[in-house]
Amino acid sequence: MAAVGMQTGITWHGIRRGLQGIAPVAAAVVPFGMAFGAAAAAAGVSPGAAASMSVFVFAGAAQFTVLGLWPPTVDTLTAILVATLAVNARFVIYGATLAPFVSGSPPLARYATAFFLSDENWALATQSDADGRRDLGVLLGAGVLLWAAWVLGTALGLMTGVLPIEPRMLGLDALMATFFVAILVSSWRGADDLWPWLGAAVAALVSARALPSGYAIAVAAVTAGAIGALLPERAVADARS
Amino acid sequence: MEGLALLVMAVTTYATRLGGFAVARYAHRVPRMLRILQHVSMGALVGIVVSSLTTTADWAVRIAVCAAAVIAIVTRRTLLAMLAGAVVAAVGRSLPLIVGAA
Repeated sequence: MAAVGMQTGITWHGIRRGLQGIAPVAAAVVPFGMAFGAAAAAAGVSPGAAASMSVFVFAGAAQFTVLGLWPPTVDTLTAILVATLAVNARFVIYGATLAPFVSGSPPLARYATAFFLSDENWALATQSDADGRRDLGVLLGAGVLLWAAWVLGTALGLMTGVLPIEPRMLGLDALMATFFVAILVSSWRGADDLWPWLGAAVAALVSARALPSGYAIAVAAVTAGAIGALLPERAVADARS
Repeated sequence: MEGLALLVMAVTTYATRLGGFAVARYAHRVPRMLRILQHVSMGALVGIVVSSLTTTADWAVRIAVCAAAVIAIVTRRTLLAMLAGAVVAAVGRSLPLIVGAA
């Protein structure tokens, strides 16, 4: 299974690290899955379709977004495609930023791992980069656990039809937000990051008002990249990439 | 028609996920692209954090995020910062109930 070269690739060790690292977040995903199951039932989605959506699409933001477009007709199929594409556009950026992880892995591992790409395991994977390891297994292990939690939550939500645990009461929506900010803080590399971060923050604030959240993330990412590209290159940056 | 919609969603979503990896394979051969992508990934994280603060967030989430940021900066412990922030939010939300019952 190991295909390690120059500290890139996919290993069982990485998969274990991914499972362990994402465990608390995955636990928090279950109630969110239940919320989707309950919301889908209320929106008139058949249980089989709702369950299949979580199993085969595995994209919470897009799944919630299309509930407003259910039941689908020939006319609304295009809207569903466009909505899914817009909300999930950030996945293209996530995948691109994992270039060092992807290059050392065999094709089958890449195709399989890609399915499980999500916000949380992507953020976790970027963090493991700082240790010098670039193991796609982190993304895969964490992704599989997130997927299992999401599917389990959806099934529970469909069965009960009611949400017994409100995620907000346990602070679980806050847990998601604090997870990302904690990783953001740990990824700060020095003064070189200041202008890209500021630019990204402003871009995100501006686009959050006008666009869906998936767009805001993509706009912020591209803004940071553009600013970073315009800044003079420092020798320090070379040593870390 | 539900089945077709599901197929459309599944294929579209997987295409975005695999598409990024395809870009990655090309970008890896260009060192400058790797540096730019580092900034891009940081920008995406900033975008996620800002989105989590602006969309459906209430004051409890905002305070939790600030608390988590401070704890993360001071302790450099990611897991601790994350859990502490969530506890702050949960406590903050249940305070009105406790005070109201008193």
